[in-house]
Amino acid sequence: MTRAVAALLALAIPYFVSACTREADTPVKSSQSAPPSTKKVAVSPAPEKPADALASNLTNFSGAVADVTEFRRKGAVLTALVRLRNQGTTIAVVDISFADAYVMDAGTKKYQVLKDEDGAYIASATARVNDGLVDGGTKTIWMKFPAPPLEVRTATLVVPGMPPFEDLRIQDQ
Amino acid sequence: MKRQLFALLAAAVCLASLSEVAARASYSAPWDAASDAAAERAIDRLGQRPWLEIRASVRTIPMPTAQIESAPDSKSVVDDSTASGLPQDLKLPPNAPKDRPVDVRGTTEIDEYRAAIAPYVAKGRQTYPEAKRRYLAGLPHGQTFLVVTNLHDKAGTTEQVFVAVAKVLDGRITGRIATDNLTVIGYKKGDLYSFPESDLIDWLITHPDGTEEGNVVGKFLDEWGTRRRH
Repeated sequence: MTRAVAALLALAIPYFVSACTREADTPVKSSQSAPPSTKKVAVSPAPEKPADALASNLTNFSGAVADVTEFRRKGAVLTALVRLRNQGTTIAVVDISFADAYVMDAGTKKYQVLKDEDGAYIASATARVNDGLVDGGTKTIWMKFPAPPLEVRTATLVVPGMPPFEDLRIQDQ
Repeated sequence: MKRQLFALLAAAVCLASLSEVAARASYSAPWDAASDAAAERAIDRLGQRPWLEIRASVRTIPMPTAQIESAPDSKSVVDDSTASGLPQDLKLPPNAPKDRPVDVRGTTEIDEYRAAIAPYVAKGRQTYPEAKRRYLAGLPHGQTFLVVTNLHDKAGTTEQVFVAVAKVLDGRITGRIATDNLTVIGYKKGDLYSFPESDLIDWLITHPDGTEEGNVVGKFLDEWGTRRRH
């Protein structure tokens, strides 16, 4: 019995540690940019874009593809929804810090994910998403930004772990 | 002993479930009233300018004495293998001037910077055809032709760099980046880079004794950067 309890304890403690560190706000630097030179462009083929997606990109998370399904301006707030799909055959570990996500407006202004009074990101998690996606599994993350002025019709969405979604059309309500 | 272990297990499970609650998103959905209201309040706190101005980083590039032994002495038409033949590691002599970056940020400073260098860029472009002609005709041994252009990245950083020229053909300049410690993402010294002549900012020809010709923008920025620091 003691042995069984010890085994249970051994299982419980890592779970606890994992749960505590899950939201730690440690920015993860990822390749957010592709340089403009034609000598250095990425060679990965673009993934097929589903009909409900505004844009799709391969990600650095093995087997996972990201679709921007909404990029909507409502008043002074711009909300982005990104669906992650695991198209691989193994679990894709997704790790996205909202500290490193932003929207860029024609290359002159950068809008970061909004935070509430407690310093939590107004997003699908308070600081970061760190999940395993089983094969065929999907997960939608979202985040809110200050909206660019109304005359700005397109913007670039940068989410860590994947190439920027360039020139996304902003959906106005 | 068993009781203590049970207590410990219970505490661990309890803490784990509490931390799982803390780890959950504060906001359940993007369009619910709580997240919309929090976003509106966040916008209010940010005020009239809820954005960051994208920074431009400008280097003064006073590094005219790069020694590139295998730089082409002549040839109007060179293939990519010539560019590839340039060494990755462009060694500077010990007396080479230090790189003195000038950072400008925000539209006001960037506009001020652009206005300040404009006459010098014009002068560099005006004198470039003659420098190119000399390069294509074949520079004396030990002289190196470098040009200055801007690199950009998706994060919005712009950086002014030297490119050691290996080829000028059909309106494009090809060479290797010859500036150290780049802040612009995605490039490093020694990378092959090709750009249209229309993006040229300045040029210079270095001599083995450490002197240089051209580099009017770099010389001006050196002085301008010093003035700004004081």
